[in-house]
Amino acid sequence: MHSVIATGFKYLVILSLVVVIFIVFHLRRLQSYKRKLRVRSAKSDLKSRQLDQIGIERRQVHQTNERLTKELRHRILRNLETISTLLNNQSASLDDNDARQVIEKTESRIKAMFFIHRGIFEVDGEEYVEISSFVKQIVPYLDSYISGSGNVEFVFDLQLLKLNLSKAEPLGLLINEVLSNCLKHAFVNQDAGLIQISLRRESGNNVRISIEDRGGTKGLVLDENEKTMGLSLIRGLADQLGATLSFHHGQGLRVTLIFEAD
Amino acid sequence: MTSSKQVRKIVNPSTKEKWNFSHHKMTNQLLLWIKPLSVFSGLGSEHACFTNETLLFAIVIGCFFFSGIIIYRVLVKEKFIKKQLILKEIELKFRNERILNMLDDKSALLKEKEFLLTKVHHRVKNNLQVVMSLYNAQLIYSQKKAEKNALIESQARLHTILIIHKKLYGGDNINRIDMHAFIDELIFFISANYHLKGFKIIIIPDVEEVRLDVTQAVAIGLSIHEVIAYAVDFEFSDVEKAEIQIKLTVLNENYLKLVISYGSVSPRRRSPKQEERLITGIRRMIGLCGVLGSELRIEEKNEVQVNVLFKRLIEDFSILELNVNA
Repeated sequence: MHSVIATGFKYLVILSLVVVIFIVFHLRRLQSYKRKLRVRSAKSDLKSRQLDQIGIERRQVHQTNERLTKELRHRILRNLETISTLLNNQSASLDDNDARQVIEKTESRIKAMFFIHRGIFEVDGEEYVEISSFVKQIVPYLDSYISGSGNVEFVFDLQLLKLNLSKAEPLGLLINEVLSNCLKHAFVNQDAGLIQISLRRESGNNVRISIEDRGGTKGLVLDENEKTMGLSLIRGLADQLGATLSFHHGQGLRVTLIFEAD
Repeated sequence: MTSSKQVRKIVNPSTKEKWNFSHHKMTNQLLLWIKPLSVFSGLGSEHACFTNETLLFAIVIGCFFFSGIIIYRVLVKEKFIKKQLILKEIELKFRNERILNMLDDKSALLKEKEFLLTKVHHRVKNNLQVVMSLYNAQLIYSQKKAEKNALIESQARLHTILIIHKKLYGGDNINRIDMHAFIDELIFFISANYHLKGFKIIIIPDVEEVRLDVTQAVAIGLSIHEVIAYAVDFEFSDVEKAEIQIKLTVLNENYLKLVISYGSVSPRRRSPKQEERLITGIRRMIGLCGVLGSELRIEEKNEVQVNVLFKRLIEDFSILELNVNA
């Protein structure tokens, strides 16, 4: 009887020992897990703080970048505006007629560049300019500023043309030059006239731009050997565009430009 | 060492005896505790339903059960913590990845910023160069002296803007320009320009170290240019040497003062037209760049002094944003 109880008791003790050992062992493991957990959550908190910090810095850089892209455009526009205002002031204070005309011509060129740069829009990091809207912007300006032109009517026949900035800039200057030439010389001593501007896409990538003055009693006859700034500028810019330039004397003068867009 | 082993040998049997003794004693004690329990389960010890063995067995089972519960709870708790640990690990991994991504993103943006900065400078420079070449071409084709003079005058003004953009290129800030360096270079350019024309001009700058907005720098540069051009044209037309002082001082946080003065070599009255040219010239230069709150005063005692008091532009992008809205 006693021996049975004793064995039972022995087993009980062994069992409780095993249980205690088990519990102690697991509690210690639990403790180590808890420690690990604490370390990890501290690390995680640190990381989240780092993440916030980096996020703030990233946002700042992003904002500066946005400002820079804005600034890029506006700095150029502001410069061109400043220069044209300076020229405008100067031409008002000049007494000599020829000198004033030279300054006005320069101003109109700078204005053309201004309009081109104002029309820039970005597609996939590339900068493009819409030519037909540029033409519509430059025409009223030229019409109002060139003295000596009467009521000139403009006929537009323009298709939309998206052109890379590197090509749009010389093209803008070229159009400005041809138009101001037309306005200045085609309708001397005349009340009214008509200028037709057309922009057409042709087969392939070719674009044909033609500017024609009509209605003058005698259209402008251009001496192609004549050396003037305007003409040599037109030639130079056409070369830069890789365009073929042709002059046709009919009712008036028609300047045709064919070039490849992109 | 040996002594301690001996001690242990001596101690061991006695502890075993003690153990046996206590073992028996404890069994007896245990029985003493258990016996009363049998009263509850039966009517007496003789007719009890449970024998001592059964009771003991029940207690052992109870212990098993109880320890089972404890072990279960410990295991559950362990499992829970393990789960949390894994979750934290995943979170950590996730955050690490995000940090790496963000860092990549940031460095890409920084690269973009660098690229944009060079692009801004490059494009502005290119643009000004195109304008410059237009001027140069026009100069070649112009025959009349008046035309040439007008163009050269305009070109000199353009040069002021060019100098500013050249100076900005090296700096870290694309909107602020160090006036000291800028005016030094401007003076060098102006005096070199007049030296070329055979006119000796000495400009003494006294400029405080201050960084100003580009727009204001342009206005100041153009004003200086205007006053000097005026002075050379009208005041020093019959001498070959002139001395001009330029002083830029910071009055307080908001206001700056620009003083351009020169000793009048040939004291003579200015005609109203000349007077007008000077004042409107400077007014235009200042007004041109939208610098508001400026005040212009011209004093004449022994020397002619042009004072321009103006408010400093503090916002970096204020003018820019104004333009955007307008």
